[in-house]
Amino acid sequence: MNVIAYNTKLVPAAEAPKGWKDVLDPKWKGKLVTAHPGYSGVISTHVLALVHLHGWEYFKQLAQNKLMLVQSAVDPAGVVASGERQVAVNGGDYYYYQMKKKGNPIEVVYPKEGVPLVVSPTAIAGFAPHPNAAKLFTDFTFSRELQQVMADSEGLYTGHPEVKYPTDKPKLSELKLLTVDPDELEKRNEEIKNRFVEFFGA
Amino acid sequence: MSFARLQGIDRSLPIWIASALALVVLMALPIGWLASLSVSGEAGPTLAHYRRVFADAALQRALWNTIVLAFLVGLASIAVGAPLAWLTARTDVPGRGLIRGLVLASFVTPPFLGAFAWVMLAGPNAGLVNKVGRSLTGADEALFNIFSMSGLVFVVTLYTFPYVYIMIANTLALIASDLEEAAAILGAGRLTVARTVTLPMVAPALVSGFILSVLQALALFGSPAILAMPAGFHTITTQIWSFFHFPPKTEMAAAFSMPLLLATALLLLVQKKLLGRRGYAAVGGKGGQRRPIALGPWRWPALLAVLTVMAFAIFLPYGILAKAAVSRAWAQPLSWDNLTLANFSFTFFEYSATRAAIVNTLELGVMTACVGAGLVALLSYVTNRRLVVGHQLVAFLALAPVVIPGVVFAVGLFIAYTRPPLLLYGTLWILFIAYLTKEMPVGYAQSDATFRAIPPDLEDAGRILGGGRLRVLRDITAPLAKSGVIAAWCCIFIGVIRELSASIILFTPSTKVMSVVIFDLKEEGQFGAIAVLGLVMLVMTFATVALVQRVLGRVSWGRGNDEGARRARVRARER
Repeated sequence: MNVIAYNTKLVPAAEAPKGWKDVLDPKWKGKLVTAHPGYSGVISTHVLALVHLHGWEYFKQLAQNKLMLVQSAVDPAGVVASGERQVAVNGGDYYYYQMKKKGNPIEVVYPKEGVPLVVSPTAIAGFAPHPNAAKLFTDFTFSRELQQVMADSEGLYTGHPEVKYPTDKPKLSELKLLTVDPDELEKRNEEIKNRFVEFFGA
Repeated sequence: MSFARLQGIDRSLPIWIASALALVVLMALPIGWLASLSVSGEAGPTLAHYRRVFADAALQRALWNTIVLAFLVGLASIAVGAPLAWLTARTDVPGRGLIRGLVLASFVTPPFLGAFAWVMLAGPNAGLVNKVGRSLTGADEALFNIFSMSGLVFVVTLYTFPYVYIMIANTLALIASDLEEAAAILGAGRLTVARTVTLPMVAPALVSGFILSVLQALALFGSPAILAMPAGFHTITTQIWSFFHFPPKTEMAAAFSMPLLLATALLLLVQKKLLGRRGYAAVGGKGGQRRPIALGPWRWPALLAVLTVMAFAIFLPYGILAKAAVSRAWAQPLSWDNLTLANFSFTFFEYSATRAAIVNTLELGVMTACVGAGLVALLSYVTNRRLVVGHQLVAFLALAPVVIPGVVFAVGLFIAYTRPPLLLYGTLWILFIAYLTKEMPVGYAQSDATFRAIPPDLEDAGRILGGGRLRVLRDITAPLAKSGVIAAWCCIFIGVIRELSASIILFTPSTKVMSVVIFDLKEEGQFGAIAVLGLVMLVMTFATVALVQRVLGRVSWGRGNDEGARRARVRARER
């Protein structure tokens, strides 16, 4: 899930952005960091979801705030934790959660307009040498116990209905999820990269 | 020389030819693949990739950024390296040994570690220097933003100027000061002597140093990846790396690397034209005195200036790495609360890739350095003594790998060695070949300077007195070249230890090396672990330098082949 995150030592909760458009405010100039759709499928999903929500105009305006560019979806967490930038405009919520649990001054914001959902599918290769073992393993990974482990130690949301989430995280039902069509994402991948580069420089 | 040539076929000739051929194969395969990829389309040969590359505005910017970066780094390296070399080789500035040691330290520091350190020092918001600056001035603006072109040039220069330094210091140490003294006796002032006598004599070294720095900056991947990409600009190397992210565009990358090849070929041509006009053999078998110039009241200010440079290159970066290694949060002050050994236990015990990576790095380092130093010694001997037809081509090929960014070279290797007859992908051998080829230019330049400074007349004298080529090689050339060859060994080993740009394409889970693990850690923002592993890398490097110096006596760092040359002169006289 892609979220906003901020450094709690540098940004009081009251002043923290609440929604995607709050980071367009010029007061954040030079204080934001973003991951890059050219290096991360999570982020290209994010960009497409927000293009559906607010259009390319959103990113054009965002670029005016001179963002620091990093690559993967876990990259911005370290930047915000160190205070090099105050707010991350995207990034995987699970990693922010892990960093927060380690004692870093990080808080996660789930915008009300919706959070882009990135699913991590599992597959068994068609030519797998031990297909039955693979099936058993896959069943195991989707068991309640293992899904609970992912929720607890990895900070992930899972599809399992019986999994209980840490109390300091919003319930899945409280979140408005933004999904994108995988076929559309694949088709527009090049466009997403190119426009992003056009706006942000690299 | 001509006499030696007329003697018919020499026993050693096949050795030279074989090694020259090996070089052609090492180089020709990956470069051939690159070239063919850059013009291959689905429907036969095409120039479409080139058209796309040169029409794209973002790629044009990357191209321009690279030119600016390389040129500025070349100039800045001369501005820093040349005076430093002159100070230590020619003047009585205090602490010359210390300065030489510090320049060596900056030379062996992996540039990407320096870049990481400078992120912690001069990141506009969390950087220590900027925090101190803010608390002193109260200003909101950062003193210095490392995520910028000037920041990139600054950091790259800190670890590139030693190339200029060693070229010039070696040359100065080899030139007897009697020419300068003669000029002084004839009434020339200190500056006039420097301008009319010293400068022309070091001109070849100056040009070579500049070109070497430019080529370094062109091929660098780690520092721009760490400092330029966050600021929203690419260089050619980072742009090519990004071509390999999904979906990979290998052909575009190949096409985009061709301008680099051309540029370097051109640079080397210029160098040849500039240096080829005059003979520069100022070093002969005859003795000469080198007396240091007295700086007088300028001794201490000069030392202070040198130490300031070293603070930027060594003291501050090493300090911040050490601090980050023992801190929970690197951006916070070092207090009891913040002190921890957790980074060490994380790096060595929790992070599974570390230990195998250290072993791999060491194995590859030793193997490549031994094979490489031997090879470049042979090659530079062959080219300097013009032993084979087409020796200019050999020299060009030995220097050519430097033009191919490691990233691109790695892709050439990847394609060449994932198919029969040589299935090397997934083994350490593919990294070995990558490193050997990639470190060749540096080793060759080092070795070439060594042999260039050994005039053939000593060898000719040996041959005239009846020694065979191998005997002459053993008794005259080898002692003269020994320290130069050891220096080449060090250069190669250190280059391998810190190699990142080819490794990042060629590694597999079982063949990770330390630099790759460090880059992995960057993506997770684990600066503490980066610092720990970086320090390990530095310790390994310095331990090796110390070991080599101990085993073989003082290495000729910045003092030319002083000792070797003196010994050989004595021997030549004895015969």
